[in-house]
Amino acid sequence: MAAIETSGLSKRYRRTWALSEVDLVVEAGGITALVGPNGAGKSTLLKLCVGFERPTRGGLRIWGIDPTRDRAGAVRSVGYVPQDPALYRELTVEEHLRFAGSLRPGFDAAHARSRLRQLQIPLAAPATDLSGGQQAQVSLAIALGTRAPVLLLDEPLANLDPLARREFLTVLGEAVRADGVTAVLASHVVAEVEPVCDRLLVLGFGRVLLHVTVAEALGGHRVAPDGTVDAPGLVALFPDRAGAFHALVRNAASVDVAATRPATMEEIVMGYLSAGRADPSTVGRLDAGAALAVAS
Amino acid sequence: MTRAALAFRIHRFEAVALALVGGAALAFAGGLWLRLLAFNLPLSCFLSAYSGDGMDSGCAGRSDFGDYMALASDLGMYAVLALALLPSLLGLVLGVAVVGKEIERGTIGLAWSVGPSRRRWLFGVVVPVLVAAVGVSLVAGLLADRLELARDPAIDPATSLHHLGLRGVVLPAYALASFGIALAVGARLGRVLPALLLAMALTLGAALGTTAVVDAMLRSEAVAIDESRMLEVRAFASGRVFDSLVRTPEGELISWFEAEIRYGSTFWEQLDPGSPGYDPSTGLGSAYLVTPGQLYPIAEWRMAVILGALGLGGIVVAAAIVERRRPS
Repeated sequence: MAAIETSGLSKRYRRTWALSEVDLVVEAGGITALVGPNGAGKSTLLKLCVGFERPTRGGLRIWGIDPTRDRAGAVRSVGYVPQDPALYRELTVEEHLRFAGSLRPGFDAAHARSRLRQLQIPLAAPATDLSGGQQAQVSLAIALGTRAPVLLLDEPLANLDPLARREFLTVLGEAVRADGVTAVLASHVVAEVEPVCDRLLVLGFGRVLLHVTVAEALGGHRVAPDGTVDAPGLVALFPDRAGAFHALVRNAASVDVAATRPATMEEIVMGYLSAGRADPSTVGRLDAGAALAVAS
Repeated sequence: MTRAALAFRIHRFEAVALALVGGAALAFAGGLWLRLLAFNLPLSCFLSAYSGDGMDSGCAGRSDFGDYMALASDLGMYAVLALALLPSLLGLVLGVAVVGKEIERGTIGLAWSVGPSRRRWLFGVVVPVLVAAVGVSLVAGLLADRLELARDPAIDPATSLHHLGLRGVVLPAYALASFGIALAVGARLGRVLPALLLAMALTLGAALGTTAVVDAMLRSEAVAIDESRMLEVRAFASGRVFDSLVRTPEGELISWFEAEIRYGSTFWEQLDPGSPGYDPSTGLGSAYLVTPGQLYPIAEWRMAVILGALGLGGIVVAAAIVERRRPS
């Protein structure tokens, strides 16, 4: 069963299309990195999945359930971790677990509690006395305590320091492997999420620009450092941090291997975002099949 | 810890602040009630006030009657107001907090992403909070009834329209109405201060509207009582006087303006025993349009039902908003 399946999914806020005709299938299992710039539609996609928003057009299924028709069913299928941990300043960590238990039949407080104990997070402490990293861990523990088959994480790393980010990702990776859940992790920090992610989903300009496994992404793309390439697999020119332009190419047979080097995850994302910015209409429909067809 | 206890933990600031304010209001009114009872004045003191013989004619030898009246009228009015305002305060502050505060602080995302049913979440908070607000307001209403009797033991509050809307079951109904309105406004706006201000204005409008409707019903039930019988039936003391009229020799009731046209501009002198032109043989008399105090229980319940319906309507609207709205 697909964890998330969308068909022509579009969402408009007043005059701005946050998502436009998104067709997407996220298969069950593993962690999908959902990356893209601000305003790419990452949060919108996750909020649609958890029933916080309603699509303007198109369809969406989360674990086989349409949130617009059965929001309760969709919420039961999802554990959600927001960017800012939405914790009550009046409640302790333990009380948050009881609160979640009172709202959700079958909430596994013991599971959440044991994860927090492993991290040495004091259960009796008021939630807002905890560090940002610990608050994020409490949010994650609550999401894991739901025992939902799909975890949606809406940029939980955005406000964390590097150490807290690494710890969060380690816990997430272990939990996904141990519990066998599917996770979709929205993030700006491409390089940091790479080690724990199985799939890469690049969203930009309201469209899916790339959706492949991490292995396929890394194995299927190369970079021409001088920015010149004649190969037909050119994705786009993109700037590095120093402002110099490089060419991202799909690893087609015609690519001169000597003149190129393997692309990093960040370069792949940058390349597809540049391509999407240059001509969203042509890149907007790229998916795993399309990208790899060119690569092979 | 139960869901109700968690609800009060989450809204601890409002709960503690209102417990202090409510406790102070109840203690003040309760203390005044006990103090008035401690005077132990004979009923004749108060009955004399309606006999036309003067306030203290039946209180011979009780020099503390003046002290009693000072307490009952001055502090008594403050106590009545404190008890009357308490339910709306409870309803407004708690009603806005339940959804509006959670949206403003962003905590609602946790509840709505963990709990499959938003309605279950809403009623899990609304029920304990509302029971507490209505319960405290019921105590305030009953205490206001006792205080009414203590302030004037000659009049049974159960058959007096005095202070209708400021005592009895109307007070918990006010708590329900203001809570429902504040809940809906808070859910719609998602911000505490604007929601509180708008809900206050709407609650005031609801109170004025309800009073106007109940007054209109009472007016339609009013009867004419000759001025000479007003003291006898204690209509001034317990009824609601809507109008002063002139009774013609034929028994017709007309306005003073119309009487002036019919009988001349000085006709009123014929009705006034203190006037040189007083002439009882004309057959003219004055009367009052009065709704008897015996209708108080009906009027009280009418008011409570209207306010209660407004409150329940607000809760239903809030539930509909919560079902549809975004968490931010």
